[in-house]
Amino acid sequence: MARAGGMTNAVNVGIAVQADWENREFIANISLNIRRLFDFLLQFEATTKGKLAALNEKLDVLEHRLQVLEVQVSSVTTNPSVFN
Amino acid sequence: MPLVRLELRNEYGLGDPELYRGGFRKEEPKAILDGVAVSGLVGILRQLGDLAEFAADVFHDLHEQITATAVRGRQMMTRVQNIESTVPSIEKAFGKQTSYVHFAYVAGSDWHARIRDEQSIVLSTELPRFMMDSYEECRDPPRLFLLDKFDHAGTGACLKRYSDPPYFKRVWTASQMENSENFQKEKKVHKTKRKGSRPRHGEVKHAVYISHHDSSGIRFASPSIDGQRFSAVNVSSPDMRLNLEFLSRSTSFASKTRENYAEQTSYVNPQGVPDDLDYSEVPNPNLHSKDSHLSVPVLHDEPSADGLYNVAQHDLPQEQSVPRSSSVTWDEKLEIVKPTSPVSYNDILVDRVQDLENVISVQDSEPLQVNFKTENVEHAKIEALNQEDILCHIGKTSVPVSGVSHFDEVSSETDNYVDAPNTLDSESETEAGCHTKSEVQILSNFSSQGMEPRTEMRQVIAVQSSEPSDVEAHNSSHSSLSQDVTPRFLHLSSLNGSEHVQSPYATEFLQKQEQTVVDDFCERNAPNISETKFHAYECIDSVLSPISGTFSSPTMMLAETRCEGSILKPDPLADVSGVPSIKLWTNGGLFGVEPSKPPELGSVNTQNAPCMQNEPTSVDANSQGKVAGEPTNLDSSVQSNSTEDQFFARGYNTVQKFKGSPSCHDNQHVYNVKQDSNVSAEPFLQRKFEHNSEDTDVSNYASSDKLDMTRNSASSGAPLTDIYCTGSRQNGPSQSTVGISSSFSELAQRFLANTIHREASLSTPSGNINTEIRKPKGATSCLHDDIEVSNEVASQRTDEQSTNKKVAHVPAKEPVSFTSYYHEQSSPPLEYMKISSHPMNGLDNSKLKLDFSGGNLHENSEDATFPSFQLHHGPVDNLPVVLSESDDDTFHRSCPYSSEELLSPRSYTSSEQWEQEGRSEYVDHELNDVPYRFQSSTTSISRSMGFEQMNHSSISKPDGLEKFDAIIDSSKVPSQSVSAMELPGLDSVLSVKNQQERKFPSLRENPANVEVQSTNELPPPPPLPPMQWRTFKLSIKLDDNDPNISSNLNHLDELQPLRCPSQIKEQYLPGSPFVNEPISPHSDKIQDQLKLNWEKRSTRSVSHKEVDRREDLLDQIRNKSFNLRRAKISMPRDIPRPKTSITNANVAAILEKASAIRQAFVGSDKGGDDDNWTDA
Repeated sequence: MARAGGMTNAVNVGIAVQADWENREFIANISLNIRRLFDFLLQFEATTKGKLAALNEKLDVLEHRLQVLEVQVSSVTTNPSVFN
Repeated sequence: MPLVRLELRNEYGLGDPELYRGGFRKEEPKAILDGVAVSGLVGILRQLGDLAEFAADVFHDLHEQITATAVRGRQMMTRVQNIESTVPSIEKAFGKQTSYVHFAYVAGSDWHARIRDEQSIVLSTELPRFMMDSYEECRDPPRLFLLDKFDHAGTGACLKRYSDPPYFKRVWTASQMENSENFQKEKKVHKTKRKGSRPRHGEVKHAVYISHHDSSGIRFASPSIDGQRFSAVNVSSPDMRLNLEFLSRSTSFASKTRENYAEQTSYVNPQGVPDDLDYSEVPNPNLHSKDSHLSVPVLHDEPSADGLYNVAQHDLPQEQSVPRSSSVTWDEKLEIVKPTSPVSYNDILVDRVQDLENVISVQDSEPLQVNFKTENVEHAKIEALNQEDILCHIGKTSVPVSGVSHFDEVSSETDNYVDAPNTLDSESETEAGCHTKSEVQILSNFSSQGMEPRTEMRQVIAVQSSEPSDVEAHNSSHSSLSQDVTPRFLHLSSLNGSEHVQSPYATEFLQKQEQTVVDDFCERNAPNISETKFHAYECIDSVLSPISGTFSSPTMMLAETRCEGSILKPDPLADVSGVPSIKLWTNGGLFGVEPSKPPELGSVNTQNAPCMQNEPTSVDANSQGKVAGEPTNLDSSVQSNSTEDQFFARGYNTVQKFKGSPSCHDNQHVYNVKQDSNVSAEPFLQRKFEHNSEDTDVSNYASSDKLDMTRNSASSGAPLTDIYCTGSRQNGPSQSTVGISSSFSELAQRFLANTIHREASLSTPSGNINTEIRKPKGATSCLHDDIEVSNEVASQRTDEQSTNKKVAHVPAKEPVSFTSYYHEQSSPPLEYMKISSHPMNGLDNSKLKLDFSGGNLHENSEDATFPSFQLHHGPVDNLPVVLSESDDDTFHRSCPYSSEELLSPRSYTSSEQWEQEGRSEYVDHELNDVPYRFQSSTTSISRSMGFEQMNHSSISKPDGLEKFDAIIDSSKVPSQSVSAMELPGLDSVLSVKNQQERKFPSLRENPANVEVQSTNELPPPPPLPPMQWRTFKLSIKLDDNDPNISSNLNHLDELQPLRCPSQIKEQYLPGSPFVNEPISPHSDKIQDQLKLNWEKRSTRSVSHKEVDRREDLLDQIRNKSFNLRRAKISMPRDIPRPKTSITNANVAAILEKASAIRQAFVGSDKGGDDDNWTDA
């Protein structure tokens, strides 16, 4: 682009076309990298959300167990006559 | 349709699109390129912006989720800390406790986890943003509500007409409602079907009742020690149930038996369920609830130890009082239960009462009480039994007693029994699952038991009778215990459905038996009994299988005897003198001797694993083995009892598994069990009555035995009932057959029904195969007898079986035969066609053969539908003849044409015409092969005619101008005739040209006009002309452009030989243009013109001088005899040949053409193609 922009009107069309191709290549490379960034973001989101889901499942299990434990403890604490 | 999470647009698309629309064309190219580059960079920036936005969304979501999980984790941490804080105090308190026993009595907490309601999982608010965006971007519906005031439907009606989102919901609900209604209708239909099938069951029941009534009468007459025998029978039935695998493994009786049972049960399910829809419907909860409801109150009313007795007494009056109609109602309710329980239970009830009384009087009341307590606990099952008894009694009372002689019935039943094993064998062969076979075999065992007592089992009975005291003691104890155990087993089976649970009960039962025996009957052979029972106990503990119990200690048979069973069989046969007795024996061997079955089965398995047919032989062997092991008969009987109980439990489990409806099955099982007990008891009683001279205590024993039998039989009968139920339900016709062959034993009928059913269902090869299989196995006279009997029975089988077999075989065979027939017919035609075509083609070239092959293939395809393909041969035959001479090259030129023509009628007509022409053509064919190709290309007469006309025209006009004219005409009128369109090049061109000649004679008169037309209207003819014609066309063009005719003549000369045959043909063709001209007046003219043309031609050909084509044209047009000229011209084609020959040929050709013209004129009236010419 810079080269193409710097060219004067005297430059023939062939040089201009060559510069245009170079500019297009440059733009295409940038665009490709942007697409890769998108892909990375998507994969990152998928993996992180998957792991978070697994973590949430484990937390669910732990919560259920904790709930049972709490109930057991509460049953014991609320009914002290058991130990008497 | 995948949802688009994000659309990343093209970087150039994000720029200014005007750059690519030509808006800046006026700008300087360099500026445009710079603008495009800048727009690309702008697009990249926008992509980066999109990326940033997308990343923000992603990380925002992640942040939210992570925060949520973090919150949950923190909450959990707090909760855990709370628990940690409270637990130490609890631990201390718990540690202070000295005894922890009281914790077991603490009620605990009634807390239940609150499972979250999973409703509204998907909410509109939880939609991801990229999906919400689409909703946000969409427009609102048009403001149709403004028109509501004009709509009578009310507010929102207009908008609803435009868009009605709840429409789908309404449609869905409506469809669901329809489905539910259809389902209900189907249910009703099934119910009605069941009711329709019920009469069959009634018939079966009727027959069974009759037979049973007889047997029951005999049984009453003969007090028996049936307990032993019955127990043995029961044991045998489960043994028969065992699979071949199980039998093969019988050496190790332990856990394999259980596994086998489990397998059997598992196998049973798939078979029974698909076979009978009615049966699947049977487990209707309503029926079950009714039965259970009826049964329960009785038990509740009499929960005491005497409950059963009271129930029995209570049932008796009900049964007697109940009319037949009531029985029908019961049938309707129980449906399946009734057919399975054909036994008359009046006798059973009486026996029960007597047995109970005897037992109570003889034995100590304690064990019985205990047993009854257990029964009370598990009263439901017993109640079901009572109800079933009542039902059975009702059925019996309703059914008239048949005075058929017992032996006659036995004989008939024996046949049936023999059939049964055959069917079993066939089933075993066909079906991979052996459980059905085993079940059938069990049934057969029961039935055979009824048969056995008369024959050889007497020996066993006598041996057993030698120790009546032990038997009695055992029977008594066993009866009480069996009652206890059976309900337990039932209960356990119903609850757990597993055999493992039953094992402890069985052990307890054995122990109880031992105790009772020891306590009550120490006077008698207490040690022996105890030992025997101990053996049984061990067997049961170890194996829990009746087979193990029978074989382990008492009978001494074990696996060794199994192989010997076949050898032992002949002995009982030898003992039995009468042939019918042999039959009976065979039957009894098949069905009766239960303990022997397992070894036999094992041997059978060893011999033929897939075939269960050896069961009868094995049974016989077992019975013999019992006889041989006389001292251990009691043990065997005791063990058999115990094993019977176990089997009952197992059978019950299997039944539950099989049907999947425990409630209904329980009732059915109990009912069936009672029936079985009656049946089994009858033969035993008979045996004892006949053989036991020592039976002073027989009455008591019989009573006690009856109790045992009723209970044990209930246990043993469970599987049978299961099988029978399945069979009867599955096969209505089989039931009817069973009713026809009413015999003294119900089991026999059941077995028959099952067998028939099996046969009908399976439609396997009849007993012949089975017999064949047996013969190598059994290798004994008994087996042979059985086989014979089975064969006879197979022949005597009811029409239903035959029909079933027919149905099974006919469809199988018919299609095969049909296919084979077809194959035979079709295949020969192909070959035949080939052969026929080849000889026909023999004259022709390989090309013709190829052509024929195509035709043959086509004909073959047609033959597939019409076996009489020879009809096609006619045309085919004709074709080769024609093709051999004329159409050789047609295939060359255009294979599709030739192939199509061969099959099409067109080809036929063309071939005929070719034949007509052939006479004159033969000579020319030899000389002119090349032009023939062109002729052959014509598929129809019209084509040929056109082609000939073309040739004529070309020839008649010595100059190329005529051809040129023809071409011009063709170009003018490319589609005047179909033939012209179809034919590539010359035909169409020339034919059209001829037509044009007629149409526009003036043009012919004025060649200049023709030339002008040619120059102006020279578009090539639609079909691609061959190269030769192209060259010809070029020559014509040259003629047009260059008036020098000599070159044209040269071209013509070159082309003429090609056209010659066509000209000759045309003369003979009916569709020739002569039609337009009457022959008689023009015949002279024609000949003259022919001569003229020929002369001109000859002169031209010889001298190669220019001929005034215009004059010729004028002459032709004036005379309108161009056809004749063509005919004449055909001869000049031979000009290259010596003149003499040419002249001769010309003369001959002229003569032939004259005759051909006549023919052609005559035929022209017929030919449809002439219309074109006339029109032209």
